[in-house]
Amino acid sequence: MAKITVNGRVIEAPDGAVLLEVLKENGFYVSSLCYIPGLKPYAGCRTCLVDVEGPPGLQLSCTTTVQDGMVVRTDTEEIRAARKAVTSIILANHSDRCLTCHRREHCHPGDICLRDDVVTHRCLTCSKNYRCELQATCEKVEMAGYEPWVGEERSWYATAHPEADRANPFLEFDPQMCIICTRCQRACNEIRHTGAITLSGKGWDTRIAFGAGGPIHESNCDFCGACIDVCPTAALMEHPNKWVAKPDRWTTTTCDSCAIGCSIRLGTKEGRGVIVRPGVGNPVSGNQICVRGRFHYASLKPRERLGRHLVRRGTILAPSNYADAVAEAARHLRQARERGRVAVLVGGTATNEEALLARIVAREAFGTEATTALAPVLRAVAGALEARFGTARMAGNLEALAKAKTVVVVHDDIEESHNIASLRVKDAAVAGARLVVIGALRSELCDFAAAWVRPAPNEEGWAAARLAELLLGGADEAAFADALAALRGADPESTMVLVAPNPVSPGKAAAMAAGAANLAIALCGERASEHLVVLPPEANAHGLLDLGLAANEPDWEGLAGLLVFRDDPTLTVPAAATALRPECAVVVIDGLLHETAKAASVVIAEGRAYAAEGTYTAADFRVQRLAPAVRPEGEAVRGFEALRALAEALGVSVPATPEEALLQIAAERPDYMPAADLIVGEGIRLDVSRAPKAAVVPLAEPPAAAAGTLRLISSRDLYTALDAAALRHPEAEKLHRYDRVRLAPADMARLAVREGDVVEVTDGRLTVTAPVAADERVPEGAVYLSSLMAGGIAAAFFAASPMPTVRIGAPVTA
Amino acid sequence: MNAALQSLITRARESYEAWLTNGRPKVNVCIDTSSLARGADETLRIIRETVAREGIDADIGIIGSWGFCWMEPTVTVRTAGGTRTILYGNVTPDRAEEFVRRVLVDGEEVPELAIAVVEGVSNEGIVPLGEHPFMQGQVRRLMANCGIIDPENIDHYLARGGYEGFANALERTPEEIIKEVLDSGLGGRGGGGFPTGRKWDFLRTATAEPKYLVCNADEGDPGAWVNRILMESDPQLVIEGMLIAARATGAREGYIYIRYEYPLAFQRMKVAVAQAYERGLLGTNICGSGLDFDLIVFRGAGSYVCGEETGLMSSIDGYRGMPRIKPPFPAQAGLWNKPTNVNNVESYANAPLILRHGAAWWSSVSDAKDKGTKMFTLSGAIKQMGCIEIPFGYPVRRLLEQYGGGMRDGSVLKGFQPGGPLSGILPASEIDLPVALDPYRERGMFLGSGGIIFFDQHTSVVDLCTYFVGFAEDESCGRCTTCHGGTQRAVEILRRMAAGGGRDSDLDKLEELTRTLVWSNCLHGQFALTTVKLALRYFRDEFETVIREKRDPAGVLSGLIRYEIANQADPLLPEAADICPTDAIVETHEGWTIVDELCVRCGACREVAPGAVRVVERFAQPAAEPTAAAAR
Ligand SMILES: Cc1cc2nc3c(=O)[nH]c(=O)nc-3n(C[C@H](O)[C@H](O)[C@H](O)COP(=O)(O)O)c2cc1C
Ligand code: SF4
Ligand code: SF4
Ligand code: SF4
Ligand code: SF4
Ligand code: FES
Repeated sequence: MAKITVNGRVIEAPDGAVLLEVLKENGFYVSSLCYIPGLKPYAGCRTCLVDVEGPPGLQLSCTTTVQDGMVVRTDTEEIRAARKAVTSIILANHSDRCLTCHRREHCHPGDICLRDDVVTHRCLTCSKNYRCELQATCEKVEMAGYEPWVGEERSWYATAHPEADRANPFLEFDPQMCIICTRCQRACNEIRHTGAITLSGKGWDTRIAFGAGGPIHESNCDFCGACIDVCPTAALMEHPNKWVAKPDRWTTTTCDSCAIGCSIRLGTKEGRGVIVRPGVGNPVSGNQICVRGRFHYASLKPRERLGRHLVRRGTILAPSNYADAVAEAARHLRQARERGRVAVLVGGTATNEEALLARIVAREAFGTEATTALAPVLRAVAGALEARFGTARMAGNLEALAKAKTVVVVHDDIEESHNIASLRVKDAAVAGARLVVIGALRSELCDFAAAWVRPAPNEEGWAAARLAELLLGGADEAAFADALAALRGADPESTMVLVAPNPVSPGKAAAMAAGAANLAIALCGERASEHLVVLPPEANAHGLLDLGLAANEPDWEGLAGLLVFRDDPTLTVPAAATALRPECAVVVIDGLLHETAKAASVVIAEGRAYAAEGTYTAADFRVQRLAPAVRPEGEAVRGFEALRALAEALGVSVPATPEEALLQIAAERPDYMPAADLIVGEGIRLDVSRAPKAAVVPLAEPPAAAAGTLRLISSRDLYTALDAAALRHPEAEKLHRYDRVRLAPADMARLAVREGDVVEVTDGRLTVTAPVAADERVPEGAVYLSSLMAGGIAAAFFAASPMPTVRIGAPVTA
Repeated sequence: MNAALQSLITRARESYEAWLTNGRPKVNVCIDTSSLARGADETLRIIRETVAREGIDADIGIIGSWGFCWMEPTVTVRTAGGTRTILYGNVTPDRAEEFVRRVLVDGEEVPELAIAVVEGVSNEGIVPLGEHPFMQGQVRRLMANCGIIDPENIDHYLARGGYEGFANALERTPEEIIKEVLDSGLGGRGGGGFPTGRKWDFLRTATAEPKYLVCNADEGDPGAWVNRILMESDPQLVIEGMLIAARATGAREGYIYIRYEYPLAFQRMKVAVAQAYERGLLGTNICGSGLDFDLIVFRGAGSYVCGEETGLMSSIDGYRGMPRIKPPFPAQAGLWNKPTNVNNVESYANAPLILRHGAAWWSSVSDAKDKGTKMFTLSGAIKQMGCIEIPFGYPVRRLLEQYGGGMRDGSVLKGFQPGGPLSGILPASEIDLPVALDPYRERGMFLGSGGIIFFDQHTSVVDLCTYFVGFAEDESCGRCTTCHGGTQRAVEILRRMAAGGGRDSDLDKLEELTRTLVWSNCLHGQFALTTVKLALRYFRDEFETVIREKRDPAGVLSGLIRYEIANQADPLLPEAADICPTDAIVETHEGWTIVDELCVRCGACREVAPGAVRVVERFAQPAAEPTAAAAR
């Protein structure tokens, strides 16, 4: 610790810390328009000037590091003058009328500017008004009245500006607002390792460019929005909420779109989501989220969500009040129970607390166990892990990922399915870790890998197992040469193995888990379970596993009743359609009128995950809190409340609040106890103990595939929004990259189909018709269908055959 | 001496001697960028063809520059017996055939093209080279081989003392070499003047490995081409210098970063490096000494700030050529974040001389405070645009009058600019300043890397500032608000002034900008407004005239002047009308007139018909404005 004096006050700071950060932490204002905390200083804006005793002149506080005894001033007349002079140069190329005006507070967006009647562009008419860092900076450094460049030719108002890029659904880039601080470029490159943004040109032509300078969606941008978060102006903004994101409340909660459990801050206006920014305090996600986390809330319009409870009257579902709907639901289910079996199905985005209630209702009211559509995959994975470790709960910690020295990833493509895990893998690789990627798709991770093992489609698990065998046996094999070289001699302590079991094929998922487990044991021996993390499909899969919902599966045949909580089994369970016969009383608690809901007797409207209060158990058994961020639409209630009311109507006693529910879970599984006083955002890792054993078990041969046809690959894509996919919404994938049949370019040439041609993909029994898109990721001899495409048809292909193959017909005319 | 090197040198001497004494006349054409611009390749081709056609037994070869750049193409002719060599100038392609016939077939000399006698006694009014006014007082050490050897033949270099400095270096410890360089007092020639020996010692004592050497050949200052002369005329000298530095610092890899606009220098350095590899002077275990050194010739990115040492390193590293933030300094973290030493071409080129002849000899060339010789290139409104090598301390007046041949006819010296666009301008009254580092530093500018530009009364200071600040703006890497935005603001004000829109507050604004730009990251931004700063000091009244009277004393600011017909009867008027690129000169029933809105003030008409048109002040009193009719 060093002692430094700032404006006469003595403060303590670590030796070598960035002075700017220290000053800010201690409440001293320093303007800084280009610095990004944690990254190397860029020193471009030149506004963070302070006076350090000793060297002549002023110093930049972002490039100065703390030294014991340093004497700093942040408030001298010289500093003020220099700061203003520098800022005025920035303003020469920015819409600055309001920034230099004394009477800004008195103006309203509709008012004509009193200073300059031709001026239309100004803060008051800007999408970022009142939430703009440049604006706040100008206020702080007192720019009002300071304007030396009035009437110059190349000032902002006299210059023609390039068009804004509004061509994609997520990100708007309006270069005329850009102050060339390059924060976006550095965030994209240094934080996200994507490198979609560059600084191009020099002098007057210096510009921010995406890719080669074309539209954003033609660059390799992943739309994670890290650039938006750091942009100090209105140059980079979210597209869906550019003009409306004026939240009246911010709530930190947990993303519902995958099992990483990133923290998000959801801004709401009158109870509706209007913006998402990364949450704070989450040790895995840090200050990053992915496109799903940022935009899932906006995948549907409010009116597309269910705001009324519905009760069937003959062939129609008629609106009903809450009490009647609950009573009606209870009546239907009670009667069904009298007739026969009732199943309870819980969706993967249900909270632990909601799942607990569903389980109690299932047991007490229907004498059965609640289950989930994820059960087949989760059970298959659990089986593979139990055979090797004696437990299905792996103790690996995602926090260790970014610092690992050796990383193995067995996946379809976690860049798409579990994006922030992929980001942390990249962090590790960029910091020098040896990365081995096993997957048939050419993931972005391959560019970071020391070795990429590309097995035949769907044989990832077997490839991992073979690699384990070779490592243990000391043998070599050409296809694994690079991987063996990268992994031999790896320090077990700093090794991480990640596996993302396939979400649609239990067989493939089991093999992936088994192969990864064998590999982890080969690399880390006895302690393998502490170095293995399973990234399951869906946000709360591990919570459902812990609550026992993955243990069994109903016999869908001949059900008398079905209670579905926040799920559309027609999308996720190929057999579910058989259950939805008129004889079966179906009660749905959900926020969407999806196919199952349409067939239901009663639909109780609820607000889905962003309205929920409770917890998720993320991939590495980290419990994350969800806080109710949005208000359920219309008359809809929170999911927990709906379940509680239904339980009450069924005469079952359940915990009255999510807190009580969590305490009850903790009573059953003591490791959940610390979660009870969990702070929102932070997450608490459950104390998962090391597995009782670690034994390699060989895998059975992979199932055979029909020769001469295309193998089907399916996984969770990055862009499809779960909520909208459940409605079969045509804009569920707004970029329209993954609502397509994706083929290797070479296969497209061979099959004589072109980009955009509409084709039929069929295994002889099932058929899906969609346009073709070329995809460099897909290996030759394979077809890629997103797991959420066309009502989840991929799962049906995999249900029909463990190694499905398909044919592609000649293009059909639209 | 190192045995392998000794035998290389001996063999090279033998072959060079054999060539010199082979009894054939030798015609050598200077092929460098300046001569190529005036058709030297054509001249060479014609000479070769003529010789072949006529069956003349002669050696036709190439040489580098003698420094007489204003008289290119230059050619040397050596008699068959080798007793006499004459340097000719202006041997342009149209003169080449006759020239070669006269010197080779008729065995004459061509006094009207002769510059000087290089070897042999003078006669017929051709002065000995040393007595030529351009050469008197020059001390050609760095340039000792320039114009004499074939720059693409390493043997010529080896035969004339080349690699002897390196041979000496091989017999000394790194500490001894550095001491010798320190004792010499060699300061960096890239503009900063920082002691080269100290820099080498930083690299020597750096702990990280590997270490790199970089030769900065990005020479981007308009009006400076001294590095180009060396690389195009004697490239091995630079390589030898870097080898000595490698031996002194422990670097095993080096880069020569050559300005994008120097394709010939790039090609010459590549040939030279290839030949050095061939002779075992580069690569592993050089001459059996155990020294390893690889040298890579790198073509620059075409941007001025790539000449700034850290911008240069970013460029080699494969990034955008942006100057980095210091610290860390190159000696701590340079190329690929490893310790690196960056020196200018001329700095390295001095090392062989110091090691060959000793520090004492090297520094005794003059008793100026700055040691050694320095190359300069002179340009602007002078008669002789050339390259010289002199000891420090000569007054600039001597550079102008003796070496530059004085101002062009009709030109009066108004001022001069040493040191490139980031340096400042000085008025004619400072013409007696010596060439030395201190006087310029004291004036808030620098002597720079060797270019000196002289300008005359037809140069507007506002225009000069616009040009140099505009250059700085265009070349700003885009990092610093102050630099890319600040230069933009200054250019804006200057352009407005030049267009007649000057305001009283403008000079204060410019002064504020000069104060603000010092908060830039690198010297480019920090010094971008030096020209303005000095112009405001020395030429303030000119700014004031431009602002208040909207009148340009230099008569060139396009916004402040107007072209008009001076003499309706001038027979050259139709020709003037023809040459006008915008057809602004038109004939109406009232006579000839110049349409002001069309006129771009290019001055072409005045050149064609000096008596027919004249320049008048645009904002002058209407009474003084003669109309077309009145003039008739
Ligand atoms: C904008 C800018 C351009 C520069 N261009 C050159 C150049 O073209 N050649 C050069 O040798 N030094 C140039 N320099 C100076 C170099 O940064 C560096 O100081 C020099 O190469 C060091 O070599 P020396 O010690 O041998 O002089 C430039 C500096 C700046 C700020
Ligand atoms: S980006 Fe900020 S400073 Fe610029 S106009 Fe908009 S609100 Fe004002
Ligand atoms: S787009 Fe925003 S973050 Fe990027 S350089 Fe411009 S102002 Fe900075
Ligand atoms: S990585 Fe997963 S949890 Fe994180 S933001 Fe993306 S979808 Fe949400
Ligand atoms: S001063 Fe200019 S050239 Fe130097 S780093 Fe800053 S912007 Fe780039
Ligand atoms: S924050 Fe220091 S220069 Fe921008």
